[in-house]
Amino acid sequence: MATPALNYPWFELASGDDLEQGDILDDCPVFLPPDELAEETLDNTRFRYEERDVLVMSQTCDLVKERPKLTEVLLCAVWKQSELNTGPFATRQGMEDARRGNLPAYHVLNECQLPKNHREFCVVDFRRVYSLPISFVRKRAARAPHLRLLPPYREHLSQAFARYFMRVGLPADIPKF
Amino acid sequence: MIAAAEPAIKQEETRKRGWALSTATTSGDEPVHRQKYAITDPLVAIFEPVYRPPTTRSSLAWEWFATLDALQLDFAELVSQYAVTRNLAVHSPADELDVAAHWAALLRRPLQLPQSPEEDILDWETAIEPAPSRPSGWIEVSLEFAGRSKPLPEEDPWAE
Repeated sequence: MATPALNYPWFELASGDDLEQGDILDDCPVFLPPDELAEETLDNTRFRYEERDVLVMSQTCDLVKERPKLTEVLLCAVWKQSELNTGPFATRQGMEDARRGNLPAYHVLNECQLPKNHREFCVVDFRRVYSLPISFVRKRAARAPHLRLLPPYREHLSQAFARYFMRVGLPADIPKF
Repeated sequence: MIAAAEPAIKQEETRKRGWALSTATTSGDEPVHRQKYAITDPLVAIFEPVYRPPTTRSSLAWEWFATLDALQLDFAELVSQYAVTRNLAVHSPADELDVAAHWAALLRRPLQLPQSPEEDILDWETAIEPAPSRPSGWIEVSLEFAGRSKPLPEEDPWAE
């Protein structure tokens, strides 16, 4: 009898340039324009770029090739657990807090045990959000097979992102009863 | 034969004093008798459903919660004290009075509902700072103004 883990795998391997929510693109460059560009129009300047593992947060239905609803794709940074050597996620307690959903700015992804595509536990960083042109992201996705987070885990992730994004801090909260 | 007769005498005394149930102390197996207080009987109706998982909690239990709120009773302490009372041995009418006084004092206390721990558990401030080091660099860019962007054409949902 198959276990639930086998019936509901977390990841599959995707290839080609079709995009879905939950696609993980490794070493994708994100571009950071200089501050002075906000103040004056420049003909030439320098952009800083950083390579990031990113996860597609845009809804799959908005990414269908035949019915594009977006010109830019929303992405979140993804960190491997081994990269988080300092800070709260360097401890088992920090990872456990994130797993339980007690750190709303972060979401833990299970490790991937697909043959030849093992990936350790990861943390999705809702504080680092990027957007890139959809054509750019499609070409990055087509470069190599990539992991795709599967339902219902990607909906769980999306819900966590929504919960973080829609947070409201009250200036004057109701006192405790 | 004398040893066997003594428990029978005690049982009769117990019956006369209204002690009906036999239980054990929390510290050992010594059989003792305890009084069924009028106050603990309705508490059974209150708390027994509470001990079940919330999904099976009866509407009666929720009515009792509302009643407790209305009476401004400290629910958490009631549960705690009820559990203690169930295990307490009441050896004499004096003990009985003590327990009754304890409950009476408890019932006069102001409302102190258990606090929801959620708002203290959620940590909105935790941040991964600085970001782990990844390959980075600079690229030279030439900016070309292409005019204002236009929205994507949207299908008319009312079109036939």
